[in-house]
Amino acid sequence: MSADYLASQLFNGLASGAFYALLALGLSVIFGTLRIINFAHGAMYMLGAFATYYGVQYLHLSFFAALIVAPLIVAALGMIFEVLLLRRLQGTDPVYGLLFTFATTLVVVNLMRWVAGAMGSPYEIPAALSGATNLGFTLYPTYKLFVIVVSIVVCALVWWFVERSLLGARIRAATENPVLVRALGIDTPRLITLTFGLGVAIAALAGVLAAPTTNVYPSMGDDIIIYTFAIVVIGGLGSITGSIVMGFVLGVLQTLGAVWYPPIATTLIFIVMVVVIALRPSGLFGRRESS
Amino acid sequence: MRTTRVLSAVCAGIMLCAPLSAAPATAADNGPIHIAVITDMSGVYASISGQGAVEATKMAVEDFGGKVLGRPIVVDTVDHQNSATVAEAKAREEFDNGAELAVDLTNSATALAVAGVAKDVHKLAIVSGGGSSALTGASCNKYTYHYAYDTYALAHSEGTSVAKTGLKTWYGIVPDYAFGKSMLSDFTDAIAPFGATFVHSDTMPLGTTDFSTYMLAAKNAHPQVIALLNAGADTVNSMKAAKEFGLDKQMKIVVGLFFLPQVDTDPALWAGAKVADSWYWNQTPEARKWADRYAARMNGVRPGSIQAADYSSTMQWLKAVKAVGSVDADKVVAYLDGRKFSDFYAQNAEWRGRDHSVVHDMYVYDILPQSEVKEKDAWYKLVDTIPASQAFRPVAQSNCTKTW
Repeated sequence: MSADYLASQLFNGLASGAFYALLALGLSVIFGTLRIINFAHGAMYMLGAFATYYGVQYLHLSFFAALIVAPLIVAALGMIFEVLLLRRLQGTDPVYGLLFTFATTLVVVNLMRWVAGAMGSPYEIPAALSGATNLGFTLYPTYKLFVIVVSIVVCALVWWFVERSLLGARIRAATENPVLVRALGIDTPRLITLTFGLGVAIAALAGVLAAPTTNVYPSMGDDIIIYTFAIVVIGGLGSITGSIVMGFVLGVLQTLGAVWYPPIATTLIFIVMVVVIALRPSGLFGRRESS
Repeated sequence: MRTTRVLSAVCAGIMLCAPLSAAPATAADNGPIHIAVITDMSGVYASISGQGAVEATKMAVEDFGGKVLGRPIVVDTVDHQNSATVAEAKAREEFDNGAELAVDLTNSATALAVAGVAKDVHKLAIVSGGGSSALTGASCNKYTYHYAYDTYALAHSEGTSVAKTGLKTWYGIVPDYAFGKSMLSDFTDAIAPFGATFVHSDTMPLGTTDFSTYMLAAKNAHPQVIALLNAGADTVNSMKAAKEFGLDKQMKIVVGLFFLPQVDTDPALWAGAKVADSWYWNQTPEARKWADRYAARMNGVRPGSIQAADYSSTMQWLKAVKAVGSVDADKVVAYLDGRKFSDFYAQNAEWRGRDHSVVHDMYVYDILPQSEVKEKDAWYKLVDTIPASQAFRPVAQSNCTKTW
């Protein structure tokens, strides 16, 4: 096995990690503020991919316009969902949120099956990003490099926003002590809605990025969301840094695992999860809940 | 008060009698004869079967004159929703309500379920959509024929055709379930006589979305052929990854299970792939003539092989019913077994009595790039014809326990 070959597989791992990181990040943002385990995350990822497909097909949007427009549309739907329904579950046992978002997923996926059919719709890689780029040691598909770069940039921006910006500090404060923050004159419910929208937008963005490389079909979210949950648990539930780092790390680990022994590819992440839960239940980057 | 009571009594009486009165009427020998097209009307397989299958069956009935044995023929549409349970229940209902024949049965699980019902009620099922070779193997029965293709025929047409051109090193992309494994073993057997072997094959779960790892590994192994032995979304995803890594420029890509209507979804993706099928609308003048009539009824969309097989099998059955003067399945089977025929769909065909496989010539096609396509839906170029005797499992190797 040559070094070039392993390096190319490493890039494959980063590319699949790029999706895991985005999805895990969105889940963490939502869990961090709403304390809801958003099972509908996969459905939002799927809606992002379909919004791209339909936007390009019927509105003749360019792929790059879809990168902005599709997440906004899906985020808007998500915020309506939060205001009308999810908000009612605030303060209840997290199991309710989990069950409720799981039911929502079933409804949304089946609605899309009804609208689009189960077979799905292939979508081509935009011309500007097709072909391969010379990395020095190998030719690597340009589109995959693009996905890696977009994912890293978005992850970095969101990390900065939540952990370092003033608005991020307010969001974190609102999570810790909503009553006190409201007493300071900050509109907490609106902050929460916007944060939920941000989490959904990141999921939809992952969907847009996935559209050219996979078949776009209603249950596409189900196939990836299970891994994402495992990654979030490994990184530490609610930890932004943990989600991003472990998303990329586990993407690489899974790919190299598949190179070494293909049947282990799907199990590897769960093996890591079991070990982490046994040794460090709060996750690698999580801190113990101070309640 | 009194009227209400009387009314309810009457209603109750009607309800009690309803099933009794319904049964004799449908079982009567002078009512309409129903043919049930049991298929996927809105799911994964709707474009390769679905409404087109119903329309093709109706065309056969109309071309036959709309009547047989003096009784009108009615085509019923049954959506099995890709559920074996639904297919089984609906098939039972159809057969109980006057259906003498069930056709299409796309999706192997539903085909096997309906085959079981046909065996119970002694009415005929002719499968053209499902591909499992178990239908004529371990699960064969007197009342089920397998009409269009099976995994054995796909492997032996395509495998043989590609291996005999001298391509010896193969690389398999195999989904980890029964279909993938049987495709791999059938392909391995098919290419062995030409000195060709699978140098390596990667197994991955059904529903894998990222095939990059495997494609890069395949590229690195430098085989002459890569065989995508998967189906549906897996085929699309693996094909996308293969093209992304430029495998199409380095080796031949063989797609194990493919139907013409799939090309329309993304022509650029499929260009250059090699596929096996039982029929293509533009391969003979008769086929074309039928396909044009079909297209006129289907908004200009040309048919795929399953839809053509539905027409052909319905027509064959109607002719058999007319010849024996009865819809009785035992009489029809006695007439059909061993019968040879050719029509616009099936060439050198035989209703094989030993295992109820309807064998015929199979074909291998190249999918053309858009620039070489001269008219709508003309995606295929015929590259090889595999005679029925070589394409289908030989009688001597049959594992069907014949009980009739």
